[in-house]
Amino acid sequence: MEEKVEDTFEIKDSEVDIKDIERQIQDNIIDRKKLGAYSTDVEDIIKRPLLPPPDMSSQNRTDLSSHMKGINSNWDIRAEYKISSHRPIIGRLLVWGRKLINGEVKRYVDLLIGRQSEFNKRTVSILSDFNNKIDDFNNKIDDINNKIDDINNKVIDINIKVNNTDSTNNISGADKIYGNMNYFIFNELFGGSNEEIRINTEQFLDFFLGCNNVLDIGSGRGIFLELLKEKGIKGYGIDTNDDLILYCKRKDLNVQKDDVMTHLKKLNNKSLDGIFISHVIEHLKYEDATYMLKLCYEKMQYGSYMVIATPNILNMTVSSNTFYTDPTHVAHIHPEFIKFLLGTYRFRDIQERFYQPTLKDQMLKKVDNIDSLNDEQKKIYEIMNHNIDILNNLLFGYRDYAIIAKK
Amino acid sequence: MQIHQILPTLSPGDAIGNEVLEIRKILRSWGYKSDIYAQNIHPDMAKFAKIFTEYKKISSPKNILIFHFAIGSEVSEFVKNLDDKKIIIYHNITPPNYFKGINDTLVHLLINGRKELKEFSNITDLALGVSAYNEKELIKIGFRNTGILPILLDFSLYDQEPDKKILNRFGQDNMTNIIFVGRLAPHKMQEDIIKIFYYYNKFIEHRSRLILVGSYGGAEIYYEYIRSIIKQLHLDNVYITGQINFRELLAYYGVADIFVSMSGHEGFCVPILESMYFDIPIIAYKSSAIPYTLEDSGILVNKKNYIAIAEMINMVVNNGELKKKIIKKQQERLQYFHRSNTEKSFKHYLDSIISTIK
Repeated sequence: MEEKVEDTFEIKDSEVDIKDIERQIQDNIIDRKKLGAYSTDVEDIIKRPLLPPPDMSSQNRTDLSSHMKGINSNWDIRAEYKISSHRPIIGRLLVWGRKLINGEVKRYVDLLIGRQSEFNKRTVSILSDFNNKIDDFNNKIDDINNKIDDINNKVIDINIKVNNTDSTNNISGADKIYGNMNYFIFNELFGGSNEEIRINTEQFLDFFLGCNNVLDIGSGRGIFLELLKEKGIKGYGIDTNDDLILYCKRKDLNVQKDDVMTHLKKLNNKSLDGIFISHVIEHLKYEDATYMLKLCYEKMQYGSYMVIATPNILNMTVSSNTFYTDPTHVAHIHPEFIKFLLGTYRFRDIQERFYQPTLKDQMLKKVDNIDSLNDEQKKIYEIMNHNIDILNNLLFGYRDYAIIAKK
Repeated sequence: MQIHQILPTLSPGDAIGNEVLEIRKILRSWGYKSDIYAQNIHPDMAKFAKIFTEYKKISSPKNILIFHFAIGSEVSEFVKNLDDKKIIIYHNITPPNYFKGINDTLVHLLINGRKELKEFSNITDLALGVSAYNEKELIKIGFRNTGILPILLDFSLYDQEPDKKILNRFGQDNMTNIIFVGRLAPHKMQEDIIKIFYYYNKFIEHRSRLILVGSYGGAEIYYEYIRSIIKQLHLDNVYITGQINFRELLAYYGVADIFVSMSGHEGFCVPILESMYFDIPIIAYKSSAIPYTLEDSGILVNKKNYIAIAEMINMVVNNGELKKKIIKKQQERLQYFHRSNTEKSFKHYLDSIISTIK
């Protein structure tokens, strides 16, 4: 920390004497030090560099295999060459002389070079063996890692299956989800009209413009898929409800019957260029929801978007009342939690969007025309109206929200 | 003849995106048909651009295509195979090593970017760096016809009303506000600014705050590192804004007393111009394009002597005379980047290529 201030700064202004300023700074440092400043117990944190300097990276390290190639082709240092001369007349004499000298020197040198070459040969052979063994080990480590991945995936599958047998609330087991209820009719009655859903969904289309493989998880009545089709965007949906799938197929929409985990797992990484998940996440258990979002990240291409829409539990009418209309809803999902989670999965540009406002006539009414009242009455009504605004926001705010994130 | 622009990503609030829109405005005002084509188009920018593959339909040897280059992408391969006259505007590629272990996808794209750029050296009619530093790189790579075209900025946009909430929060309490503007990223080396601020805040001016303006998307690991260092240094007054809108940006400039950059790599550094515009004195580490952008203005830092830089901040903030002189020089330098000057150079470069079209 006793660094000299001299030459630390440059000010290219003839009116400014930088040397003088640097001297003043040096003096200030000395004065402050006399008063006990700049002594610190965090010096090791200050001195610690953030990351290795750029030139320490593996990119600049010499490649082992190129070394091996080099020594494999250069171990034999015995040299045989033809003695000749391009000179027409004295050439013969020169060749004879060189051959004589070469013969005399070669007698002694060949012995040494031969031994060195033999030593080189054995050393190279040992190094090649080691190198091959390293390759074998690396391949084995890769195999082991793949097997560990397989085992992890199997454990997750088993957990999902165990959960399905325990619970009726998992998207993975379609029959278990819906029980004896006709979910198609329920969804028609309580899930909002097609027109309403269409208007609410249209706002997200911009995130998928120009895409070629968008997945709609829980495609339901296929409204998002219809919108994609109208815009010429290629995409398909998955759902677990037979009636909803049949309904979509009749509308000539590309829908498959599959549960979300099974489907995502069988997709190639980075194969999707957009994911839309509307009103699905609240049907999942916490561990399934987080795993689903992690899988989504893996399957998405860099720069593509995911939109997750769900009931806005910040609206108390939603969180304490309408949320429970659907018995297959499992968990309240707070927008801050989804945003946090997506951040940890390395999604970028995470944004939230609240939509579906409650109709005005369903909200608490404010007192109008208070201008004609006297000041005291006006003040009381103003406070009352202010409080009504706060309550309206809390009780009757937006009914849905969406989180939009980019990979 | 048509003059269009193509680039990998068009997003709002980003220096390249802003410039692309400005260039389109200028080209259209000169009577050219001019559109923007991109691979990734942020939804907010959807109305400004078309998907890059669409360009194939109008590609012609009689057209000029301006390719903004800063990263590897599929656009490079696409442009390579077109017969249009090609102008590259090179915004610089961040050295990939900065992002190792922070964002591996980005590392891959940056490495590819360098390879792809090299492939353009023989098939580009003109390559323009946004700074002398960038032009030097282009020449080193093997481009023959090169030039400098500084970033085009429309400063009239900066006269909007700044965000009041931020002005009230940070601008009313007479605390010294040190700012840096730029996304949180390892090559911008925000950790060094924090270390300088540690000395400034603990030993020189306790009534001070550091505001790091910029998003941290794509560098969450670095963000966590920065947060941990703030915690370890027990600093209460460091604010990381994350992604903000334009009026909020204006407000942060509005409350700033000094702009400090310790960045290790910049292709141009627009925030330096913005600080000049808002009369904020600049202290910046002498790296990459910074000496070009500052030229003879601001204060350049040759070595990262944290205590000395903290003392220099104190001197600039409290020495009215010095501050005035620095700002005056910065105002003079800003004139060089005046839109009319840059427009003139752009016209000159463009004409040189137009004259080669039969």
